[in-house]
Amino acid sequence: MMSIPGLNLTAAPPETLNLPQAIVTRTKVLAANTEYRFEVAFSRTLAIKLLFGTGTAEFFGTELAPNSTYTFQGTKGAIYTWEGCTLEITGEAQSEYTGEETQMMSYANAHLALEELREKSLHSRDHGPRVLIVGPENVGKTSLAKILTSYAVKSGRQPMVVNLDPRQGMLSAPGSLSAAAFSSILDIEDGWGSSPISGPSPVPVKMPLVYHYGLGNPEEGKLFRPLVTRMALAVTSRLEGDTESRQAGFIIDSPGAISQGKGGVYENIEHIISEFSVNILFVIGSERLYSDLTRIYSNSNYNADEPVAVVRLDKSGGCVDRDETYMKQFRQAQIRSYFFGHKGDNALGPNSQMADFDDLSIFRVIDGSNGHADFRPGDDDDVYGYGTTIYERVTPSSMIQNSLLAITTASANDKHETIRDSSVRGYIYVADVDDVKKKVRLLSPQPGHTPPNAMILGSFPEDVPGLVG
Amino acid sequence: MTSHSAEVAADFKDALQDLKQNSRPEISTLTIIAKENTEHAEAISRVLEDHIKTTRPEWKLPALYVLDSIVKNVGTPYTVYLGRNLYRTFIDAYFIMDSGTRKAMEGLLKTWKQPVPESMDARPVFQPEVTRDIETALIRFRTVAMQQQPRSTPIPTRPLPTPPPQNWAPPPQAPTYTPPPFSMPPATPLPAAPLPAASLPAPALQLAQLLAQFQAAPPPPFPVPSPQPFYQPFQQPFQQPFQQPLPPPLSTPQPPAQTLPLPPALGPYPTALPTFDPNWLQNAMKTMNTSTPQHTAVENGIQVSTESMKVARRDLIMSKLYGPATSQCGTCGRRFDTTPEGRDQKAKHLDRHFKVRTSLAENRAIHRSWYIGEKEWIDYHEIDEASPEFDSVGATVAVPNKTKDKYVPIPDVKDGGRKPCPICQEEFEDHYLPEEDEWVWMDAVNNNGRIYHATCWEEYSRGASDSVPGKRKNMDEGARPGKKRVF
Repeated sequence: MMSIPGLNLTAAPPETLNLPQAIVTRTKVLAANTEYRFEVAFSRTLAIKLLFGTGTAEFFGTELAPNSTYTFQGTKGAIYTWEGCTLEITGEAQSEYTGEETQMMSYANAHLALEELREKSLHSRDHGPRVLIVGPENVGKTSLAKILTSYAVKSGRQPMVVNLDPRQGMLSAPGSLSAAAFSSILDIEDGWGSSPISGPSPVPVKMPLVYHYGLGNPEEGKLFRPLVTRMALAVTSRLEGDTESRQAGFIIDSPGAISQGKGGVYENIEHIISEFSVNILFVIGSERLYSDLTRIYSNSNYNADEPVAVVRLDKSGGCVDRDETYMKQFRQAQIRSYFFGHKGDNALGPNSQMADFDDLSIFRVIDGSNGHADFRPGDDDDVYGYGTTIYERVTPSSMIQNSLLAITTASANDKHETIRDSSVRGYIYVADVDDVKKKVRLLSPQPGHTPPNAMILGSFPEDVPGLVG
Repeated sequence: MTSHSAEVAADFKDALQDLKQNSRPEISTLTIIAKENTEHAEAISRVLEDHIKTTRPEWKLPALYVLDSIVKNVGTPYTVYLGRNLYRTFIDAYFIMDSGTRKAMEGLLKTWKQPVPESMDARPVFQPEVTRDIETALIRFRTVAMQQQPRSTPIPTRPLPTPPPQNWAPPPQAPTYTPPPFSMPPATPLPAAPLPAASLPAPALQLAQLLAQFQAAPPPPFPVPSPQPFYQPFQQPFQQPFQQPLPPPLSTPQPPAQTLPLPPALGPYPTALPTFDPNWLQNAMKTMNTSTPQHTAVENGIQVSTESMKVARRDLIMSKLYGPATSQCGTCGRRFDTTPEGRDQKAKHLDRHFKVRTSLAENRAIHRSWYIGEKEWIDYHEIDEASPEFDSVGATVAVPNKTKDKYVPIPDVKDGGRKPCPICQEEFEDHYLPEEDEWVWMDAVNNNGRIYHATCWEEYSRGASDSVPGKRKNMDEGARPGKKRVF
């Protein structure tokens, strides 16, 4: 347990360890084209080592180094082998078994098809494949995104990855939308990897662009589509100058909620496809969604510069439902790791600081429940018009204790649209509010004054009690 | 390479130049030279590789026998040095050989997967990774060659047979079939070893025979250079007993009918998925080449379609993902090519691991940095940590936490020399940075070759993003949100 003088901060998870854990080491021989599927609780650790000379193995496309120990916590994952291998496993898994039927062949085929397009774009100097992955919750959209990204990196590309799913952050806190180009391998133990830190990182850090959405569901409120538009503009501009990433193309991971649709209409999917000029749509797991989208994009009325290829992929047998309890723990672990780092060997030291109420310019996202007319693609005036009320200014109170504030690059006097469209510098956590002295105790990733910028407070991610003990 | 090493290597090279046939005494001599000079193994290995690469095709096989003799009779360190480039050495030679020599080479490869006969060491001659990559490439080569057969061959189509047993040999009627020469070179070349034009006329039939023999025949005798040339005219391809007369009659379920709707936008239906195979030969090949009875698609057309995603392209996948880059980092698992550039990259990569470990051991307090702003992100380019330009642009393992802490090495005169910051027009101050052992300008960033004060640049960027950032200009130029933009 690490502590910071005067504040008694702790990086330890709030869960208690119920029983002393028996450390059992066993070896597992995997046949070719099978995977070892495992689930580890947040309070447990599972260590996996690929034994040298027994074959190769990969974790969502990222190859394991032989004889290196990888430790997992709060993870539901799978180690796949193309040609068979032997793993040495230490620790206790909630569930573990060998999966024989996987979708790796079709996912690798998807990679090969994308590689051909990248190869073409290399010659034509045009854009590489622009991919959107859609499908219901828990069908493996993010896993597919990781596999495609890992394989692309392995093939020497620098793909851009865009996460539009606020329920789980990519290189950032939940509630955010982010994008980053990947030129180095994914961190096997730490999701997508780490955003920049002030010191060295064993796996190279990734450089994300982050916007804060502040709600859990993209179908609620009226922020999602303008932010998609903003993100698309930023990514498009970046790719104009970034030849490597332009030729590698991009991969967009999307939230399951947008694949629900209303009577065969998928406004958010269509919005993303139009804004990013997506030309390949991978549909996982839902036959109905595939059929609807095929109809939409094969329709001759669909007026586009370039056709959209709609491709159906099957859901992997390894996909498990992640219930709300797990997702909540997962998000809290993401937030904890934003401030404290992922593990002991690169633990980060956040800074505790006091601020006056007047120092904070907090803008709370107005819930979608009382939202006005739906935003529709093409309603430009609504997006970039003036006087729209998106946020309400709030003064600190005990209501905001334990919540996460997104520090934008906008100033407190800016219009709401400007605040919404400005990227995020980082997050601070409200550890304590003193209503009498009108002071707040904040946890900031780094030392220095609390920035005077506009801060966004959303209903998502939810409060994180116990981040600071 | 020391000068002595160069001398030994030159001698070895001279001796190699004289090797123009499969001569046991000459090969033994060369092996002895190699054995007595293991301290120069790297230089000798390089000379040998170069020789195999550059000598005339008919002299390549004897040179490969030298390689074989050295790795079997001397062993390490030659197995290590020669193993590094074995893939290239072998495959490059293989592709320009005639079929008889290819067979001899396959025989060699087979012995490399086994321990040296009568040796105490139970390990194979070369590491399994090395030989496996070569085998994968050979299998792919055969697959490609096979697919070059025109699909319109007017041989009566047969239903897909049950996969015959592994040792199934082609029926004797086969020789009457003479495939026409290849008309269509593969559009997508092999990733690591493009097919030279010379190899294309090799008829698929010969390949099939080759393969059948290779699969069915007992392992050839230990091919340590023998006095007679190993090379034999290829004339008894069908000596194998004829074990299974014909593919069994229609009994297997046919591939599922393709009923899924295809978006018309996708262009032509993938032609690579015939429901029936044009002839038995392909079926025979297939069962030997792949573990699944599914079709292998023509590789120059992996369509972006639902059907195409279901095709088993195992060998292609393996060679793309694990084939070309065989040298793996032991720390993080990243793979590198075995080319000189790949070696440089790996060295640089390992160097970075070392630096990170060293500075982690110093245990300085570190914290999360702020994310970069929108404008900065748009101008940002990823640089591979193993690429040569990684250091030269001033990127460091640690991302500077404060704008003022950013720095760049003082540029050379040839790179423009000392110029003031274009924003404030003030000169930079020189600082010595002990941890980098370098003179640098602090509070500086390099943007597209021009050096600015980091603080000036940040101010400038922020100013820009406050008003209208770069991409908003696009909108002013007509691209509006909600409308289709042309990439």
